[in-house]
Amino acid sequence: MNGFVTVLEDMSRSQPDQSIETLVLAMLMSWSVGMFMAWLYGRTHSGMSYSRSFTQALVLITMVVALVMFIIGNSIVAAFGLLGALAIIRFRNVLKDTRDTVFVFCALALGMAIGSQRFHVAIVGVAFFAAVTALLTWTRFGVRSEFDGHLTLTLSPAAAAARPFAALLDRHCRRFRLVSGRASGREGPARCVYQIRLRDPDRHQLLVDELARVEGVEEAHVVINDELTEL
Amino acid sequence: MKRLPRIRTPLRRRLRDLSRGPLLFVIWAGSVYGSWVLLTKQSRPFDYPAIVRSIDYEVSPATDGRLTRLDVKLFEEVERGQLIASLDSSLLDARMATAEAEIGRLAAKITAARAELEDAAKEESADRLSRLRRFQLDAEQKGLDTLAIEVRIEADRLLAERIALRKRRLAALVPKGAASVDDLDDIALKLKRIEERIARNEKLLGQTRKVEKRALGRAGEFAGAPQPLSLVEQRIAPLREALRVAESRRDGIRARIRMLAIRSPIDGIVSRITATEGQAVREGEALVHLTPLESREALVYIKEGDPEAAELRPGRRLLCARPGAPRKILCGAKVVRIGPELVELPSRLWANPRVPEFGLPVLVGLDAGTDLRPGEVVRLRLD
Repeated sequence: MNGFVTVLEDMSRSQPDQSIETLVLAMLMSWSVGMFMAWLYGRTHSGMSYSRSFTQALVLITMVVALVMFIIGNSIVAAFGLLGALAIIRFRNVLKDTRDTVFVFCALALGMAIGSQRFHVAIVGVAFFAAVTALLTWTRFGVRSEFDGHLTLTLSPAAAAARPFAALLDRHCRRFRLVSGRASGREGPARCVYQIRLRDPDRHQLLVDELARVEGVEEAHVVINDELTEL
Repeated sequence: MKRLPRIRTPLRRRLRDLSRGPLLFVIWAGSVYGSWVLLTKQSRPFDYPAIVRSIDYEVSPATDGRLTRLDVKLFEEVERGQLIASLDSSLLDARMATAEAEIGRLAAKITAARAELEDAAKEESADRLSRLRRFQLDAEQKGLDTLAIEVRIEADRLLAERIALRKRRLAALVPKGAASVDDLDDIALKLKRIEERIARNEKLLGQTRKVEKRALGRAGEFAGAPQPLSLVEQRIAPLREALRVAESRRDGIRARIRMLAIRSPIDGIVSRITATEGQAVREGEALVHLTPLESREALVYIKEGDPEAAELRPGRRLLCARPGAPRKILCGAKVVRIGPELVELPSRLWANPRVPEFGLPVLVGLDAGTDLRPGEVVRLRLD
């Protein structure tokens, strides 16, 4: 038993650089690399399972793992301790959101840093983590949708052809895109659905009112996307 | 179609749009740049382990003896020349006293002998003067004798010339019958006797001159003989030599007494004390171990196959730092000498304490002003 403990102690004898400069370098580099990787993921993702939370989690995971490895260093004891703590939490709590897992992991890492008396690591780590989290939230990183909502127009056949509302759309919207159109025969109304990005989302009602006054527009309906609808 | 005025986009919306793309990119680019700067500023690893040289000075007595006093304590700082320990000097003190007494005795003896000899020399000087006068008188007398003979010889020569003149005249008159042959014979006989007498006197003169010369020589020799007073130093020279021997013996004892006081050869700290008061110690037996306060040298070990090993030449500059703080440069260093062969590193420098490592030892000189302690582990890299 003593020999086993000695072997463990021997393996953890040599320590890498634990300076603050190296820690800052690790945090910066992990964030830079994580951001690039998350951006690449968002740009190349196809399918319906895209999640903004997951994309942001990719960035945070990079940083948290870098922090954890910085704390562990060459200490196999610390590594086993982290493994045990993670296992306990994993089996006791089912975390559906990847971002939640990242936060739990980060909390573990900070606890390990403080417990191993590497206070500077905990302080710098949490500062970086908080700053990056705030930045990702404020910039809405990972959001793929560039439109605020969609506009549904019910038009007369003449209006559907002439599109007299184009100037209005240009007035209210920075970008708009026709995503569907439906015609009900030669005499029936046509329905068009546009995805719109408003110049001022707070004035979407004005858009509806002005559209309603356009000749040929029988009905105008704007639906603004809720952020919660995009996970 | 008539173009309608566009709705003004609120500032908050603009900022948000800006933050989503360009600002985030700028921040990301700044982070990449910052990472690059930090990465490039990161110094090269300190690859070379080294131990600051700890030279252990053994302080030992130069002679056998008994340790009577130990004046230092463990880990006490000492200065060069500071008294560390003292051996028993009672025997040597007694010998010293004996030597001093002997010197005193000899000095007194010399003084007494000198006084006695000087008195005798004064008496002898007075006697000598009278004897010198006698020699001088004798020489003068011989000189006068020589002079008298010379005078006689001159007088006889004058007489001989007159007689010779008379003889020539008679010889001229004899044929004429004015003088007789007997007169001529008488004159000739007189002249012959005078000439014989001159010859005898000349011979006597030669002898007299020799005698005079000898008398003068004796007088000069006696005058040139050393004065009685100057012979005093010669006569007390053996005593003086004995005094010199006694003094050298005393100096030897004094030197041995000095050796009994054991002093520190360096400025340092007492790292070990291996003797106790009252203990009998032998010559060369270590009593105290000293470690210098600071060390200006370190032994660096270059691992086998290191690509930078070829750059290590005497005079090459290095930088030194402690293992736990590689960014804080402690001091510079310079390669002094390189070892001839690979040796096993001290176990303290092994990365794995169970796996020995080998390297080429290199002696480096550390710059002044460092606070490194002997035995401290440091790391160096090429400057």
